[in-house]
Amino acid sequence: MKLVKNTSGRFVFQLTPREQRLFVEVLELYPLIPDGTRKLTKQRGQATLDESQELLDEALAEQRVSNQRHLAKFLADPHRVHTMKSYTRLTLAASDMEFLLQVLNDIRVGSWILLGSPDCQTEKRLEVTQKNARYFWARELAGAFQSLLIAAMNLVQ
Amino acid sequence: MDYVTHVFQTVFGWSRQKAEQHMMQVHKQGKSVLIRESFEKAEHYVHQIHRYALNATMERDE
Repeated sequence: MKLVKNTSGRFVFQLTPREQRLFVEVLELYPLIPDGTRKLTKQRGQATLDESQELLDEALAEQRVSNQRHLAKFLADPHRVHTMKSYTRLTLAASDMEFLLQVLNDIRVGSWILLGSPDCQTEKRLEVTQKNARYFWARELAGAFQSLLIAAMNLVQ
Repeated sequence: MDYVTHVFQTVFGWSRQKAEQHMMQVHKQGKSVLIRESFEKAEHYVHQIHRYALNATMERDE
């Protein structure tokens, strides 16, 4: 997947058929961050903070539903994709790039959580099994696509 | 790491240099104090960062 053109805030990427398939497959995993893992504060026991945590949970749940709808539309939109003989051209607006970065980070972080939150600086080592191998794959791919989008945005700045 | 820099720039409106400094602090020390604000504003920023699927918490400044 490479950036081939950027004009007036529209990014045109070229993907091989395999890259296109992987891009769609990884996006279809959204959402992966488990409910209740995102905390407003580490402090506990104050009514105000508990209410604020509920607000955060509600806001993130709404965002998740909205993102799922948006992603379904995005993946079904035939105008974004122009298929040639040996490659596909994908056109993204700047707002699409921001949206995809959020979705890909959810997949990357969610995969890491589902892999047991491995940390190379502690004893929590990554153990890939048949059961969790798909999350290892998802984490790596989401990170790779995320880096490509960021690199394309940085080229423009 | 570039993503974290990007989110800091977007959420706080920081320069790339400032965003990178905080990103490096997170990378090396596991956390960074991003901003000192009123409860409501801090809550707003925590919400924004969580929307980008990054982790952020707010604590009372003693």
